[in-house]
Amino acid sequence: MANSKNLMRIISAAVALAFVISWIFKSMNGMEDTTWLNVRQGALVTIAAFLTLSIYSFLYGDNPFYRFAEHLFVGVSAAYWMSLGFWSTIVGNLVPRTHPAIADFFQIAYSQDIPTYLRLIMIIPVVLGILLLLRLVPKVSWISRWPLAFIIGTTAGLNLPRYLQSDFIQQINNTFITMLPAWEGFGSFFSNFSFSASGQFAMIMSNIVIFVGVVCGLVYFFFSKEHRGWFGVASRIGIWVLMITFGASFGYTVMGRISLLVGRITFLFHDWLNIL
Amino acid sequence: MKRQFPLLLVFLSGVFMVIQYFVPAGFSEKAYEFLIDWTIIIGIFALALGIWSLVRVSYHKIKTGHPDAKYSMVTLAGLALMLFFGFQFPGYDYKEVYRASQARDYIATNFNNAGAAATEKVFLPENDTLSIDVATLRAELPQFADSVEHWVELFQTSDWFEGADNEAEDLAAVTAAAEELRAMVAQYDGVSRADTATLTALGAQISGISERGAEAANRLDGITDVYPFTGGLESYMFRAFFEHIMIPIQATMFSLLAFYIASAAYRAFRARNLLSTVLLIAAFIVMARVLEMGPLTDLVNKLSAWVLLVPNLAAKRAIWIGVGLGIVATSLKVILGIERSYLGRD
Amino acid sequence: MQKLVQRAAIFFLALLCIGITPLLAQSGADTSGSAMDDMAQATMADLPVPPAPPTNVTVQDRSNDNGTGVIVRWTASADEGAAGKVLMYKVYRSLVSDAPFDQWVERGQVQINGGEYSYVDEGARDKDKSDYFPKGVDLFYRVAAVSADTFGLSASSDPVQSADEWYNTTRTTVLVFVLVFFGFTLYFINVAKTGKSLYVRPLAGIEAVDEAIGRATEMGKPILYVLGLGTASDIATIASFSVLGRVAKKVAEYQTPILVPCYDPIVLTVAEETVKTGYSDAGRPDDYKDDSVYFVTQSQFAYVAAVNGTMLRELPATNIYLGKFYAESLLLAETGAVTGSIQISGTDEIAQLPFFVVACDYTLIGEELYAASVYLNREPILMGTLKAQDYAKAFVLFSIAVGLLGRVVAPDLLHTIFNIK
Repeated sequence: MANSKNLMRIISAAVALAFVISWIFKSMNGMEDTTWLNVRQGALVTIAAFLTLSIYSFLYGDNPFYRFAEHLFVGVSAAYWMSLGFWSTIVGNLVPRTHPAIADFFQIAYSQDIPTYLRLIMIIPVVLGILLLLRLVPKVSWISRWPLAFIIGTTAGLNLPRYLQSDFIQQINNTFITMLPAWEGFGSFFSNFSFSASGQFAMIMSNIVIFVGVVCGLVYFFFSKEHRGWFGVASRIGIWVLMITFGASFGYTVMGRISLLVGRITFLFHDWLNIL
Repeated sequence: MKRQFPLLLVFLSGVFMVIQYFVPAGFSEKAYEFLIDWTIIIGIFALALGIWSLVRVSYHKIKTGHPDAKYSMVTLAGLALMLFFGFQFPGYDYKEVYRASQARDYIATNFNNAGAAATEKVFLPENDTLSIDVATLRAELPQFADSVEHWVELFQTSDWFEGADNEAEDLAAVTAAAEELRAMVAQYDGVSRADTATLTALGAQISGISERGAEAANRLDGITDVYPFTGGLESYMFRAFFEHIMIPIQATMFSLLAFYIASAAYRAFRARNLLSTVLLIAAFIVMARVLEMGPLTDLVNKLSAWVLLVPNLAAKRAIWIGVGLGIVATSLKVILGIERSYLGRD
Repeated sequence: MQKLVQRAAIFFLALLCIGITPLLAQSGADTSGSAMDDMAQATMADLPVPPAPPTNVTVQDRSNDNGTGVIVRWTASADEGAAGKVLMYKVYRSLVSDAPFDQWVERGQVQINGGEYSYVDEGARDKDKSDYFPKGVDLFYRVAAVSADTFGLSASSDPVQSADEWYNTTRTTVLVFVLVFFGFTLYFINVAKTGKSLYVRPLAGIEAVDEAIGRATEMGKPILYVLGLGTASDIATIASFSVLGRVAKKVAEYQTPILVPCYDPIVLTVAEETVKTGYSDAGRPDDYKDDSVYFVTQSQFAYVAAVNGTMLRELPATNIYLGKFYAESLLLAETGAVTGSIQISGTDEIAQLPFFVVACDYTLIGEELYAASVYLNREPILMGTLKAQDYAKAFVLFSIAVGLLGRVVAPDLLHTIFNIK
């Protein structure tokens, strides 16, 4: 145990030394002019490179470097979103609608054209927000459910008709397709027969597959009927179609993910080490 | 009261939002926008609770000597520093803070506008909203020049920006172009709108000057922002932490997916059941579209396009319809108070 | 197996027949073509004689809107037939019918098309916007037929006022569906309350939950419940809360620790309430630990980094991912698979389902996520809503089948009903 601790110390020291050297090299890069700028830029790029490698070390397993980067990231990002929320929502959205003196205090333009009742109404979310903070007082923490009730109720009411429209009715509408595009009789069908994707045969087959796919997919989602007999067959086809889709989506994503990796490697070798 | 009032609130706000969907009138839209704003504002208060939770858990780990105690200190330090930078109050008028890129764009825009006014807008028919006459053009040219010089001065005097190698040279070129613009006003003496030949010649000159000015402005991209401790989201350290700590870790975490997607594919391969084989085959067909495979290339391209267009669409539609119903049913359960575990017990 | 293939073949043939029937009734191709308009080749008019002005300028408040639109219609200028005489129309608006021409504001242009003319004049709702559309006052419109160098101006239209509408008639279909679904739900809740048992097919992912909690108890390891990146405004997250409530109750009964790292602060507070409720339902409210539901950060990848770290350090026996997931789905699920946890996942994000399917033991696909809480609870009321969902799906199957025939009988009717703006 003591040995592994010592080993860790040696590794940490070596890593620290390596990054300090890298920092010195980066700083010396343009020593003739604006040295301070290079020292600072060098420090920033070195830190970024250290954090990048620390995260990659997760591929080997949990280790102190990953833990450090992870914990730092959590703290910094939580504060980042808090600051962003404060300046953009509280100062940017709420303050201009309150009072000229408050707007002036935050040095932000005051919205002139809002009637008084709409200004007063903005007190409500502030009150609800304060009620939410009462969670921290155990005796009255039940009051904090009011703002939660408001938010959840609003969400439910917002989503109910809108999803009914976009995910339900609109999708049914889109499934009303002609099975036989531009049909001109059997004679024409056979004389112009081809397997090409824009050909009539392929289009008819595609439309039938879409129709069957939607029907069988829906059958798969039936909960209150046993998936046996005909119903079972359709449900089985449904899950196959779902799996083909998942595979296609999987394959489609691969290239995008590889390009992200290329981006980070470029950063390490070009921006940091200057060897690419 | 403890139990009934929140349920009533859920019901009322839910029903209100449903009704709002069917009422197109302006006040209904406004009410919708206000309610959305409210939820966002309440969310910021909630964020304070979140930060409190993070601090409490970290502090608890430190106090109890959890194995992660020293890393929890890192979290708290990062949090405290970033909050300190982020909540610094603007040292001077917040509205007057500009980025170098912004100042550069303003200069270029002013030049472009001057060029457009002299070459295009003066020729537009008089009833066109964009058209201007010669008198207006003469009044506007010095204004463009003034505006450019204002930004140049900002570059030269403000400590918000840090210079680049050829900064002085390019700024001089910009100023020279602005002066030339100003001098062009005299050339318009006695020129009327009908005198299209003269107007065209002068327009060409001005557009030449403007192009040179805008080009010089675009060369100023070496100038970077440094306004130490201005405060708020513009604080130098706040941005440095964001760009050199958050962004690299974020991008690296994201890029880990390249490794994970490979191991996931291997996992599917090892599973050896019918469904995962179907999944893998579809995945390979779609992946193979970027590979060069000789005589097979065309076939694979067509096949992968078909898979992406046809079965993909069918399955997505089936999922969408199901999800739509699930959302409607869950919303209904919430509004009617059938689903209420989230509201606590007593 | 052979029987299965046979049945599938018959099924396909049946579908083919359904498809071919309408074709026999279908007539030839659509011949109403788009005859090229020679008028488009306009040349300069020689004389500055204004073209005949448009006539019959009628105006109408745009329906189903928030009082920000007026529809202007007119009959083409008599000179439109003469080549190059009319290039386009311009629409002017004024607050006074007999105002001098310079007080009429040009609102838009319409290119000649040789047919019916109409123009929708619209603007912004709020008074502080520059293109604010005046509401509740008389507006007058004139239309000019514009030639190369002059124009012929119509007489002023009758006054029109734009008004707020109280009901969007194009959304009637949605209203009907809301009411019908509501009716279904109430009906089946009542049926369920009478004690009639409703069958539900088994869902492997849900049946695994009990087993997974039991396994965690045996191993003395915690359960990790990840609500995803959804906020309280995602119904998927709310559906996940219901499952979390049931899981928390079982966990409390088994006295197994549960970890719920949260991404969104509102989700944090709701999750706290939910887990506390679960512990209370199990009769052990005092066993709830404050640190079991905790906030991480509102940054996607910082959240993943922390949850992945937790997986490696706490080695949870079971990971449950239910809710909204984005690119982090695979990072979480693969890490969990490597640490050997039983993994149950579910989301309605189609792009992330493949990764869950590959890396998790059980995956709830789309609607199954929303049904999960019902499965865990089996209260008659909740079963009623599930049955209502199935009936709605049956309706979809029915209407798609009808739609197939409907395309021939009345091609546009169905689109009118189902196309909502």
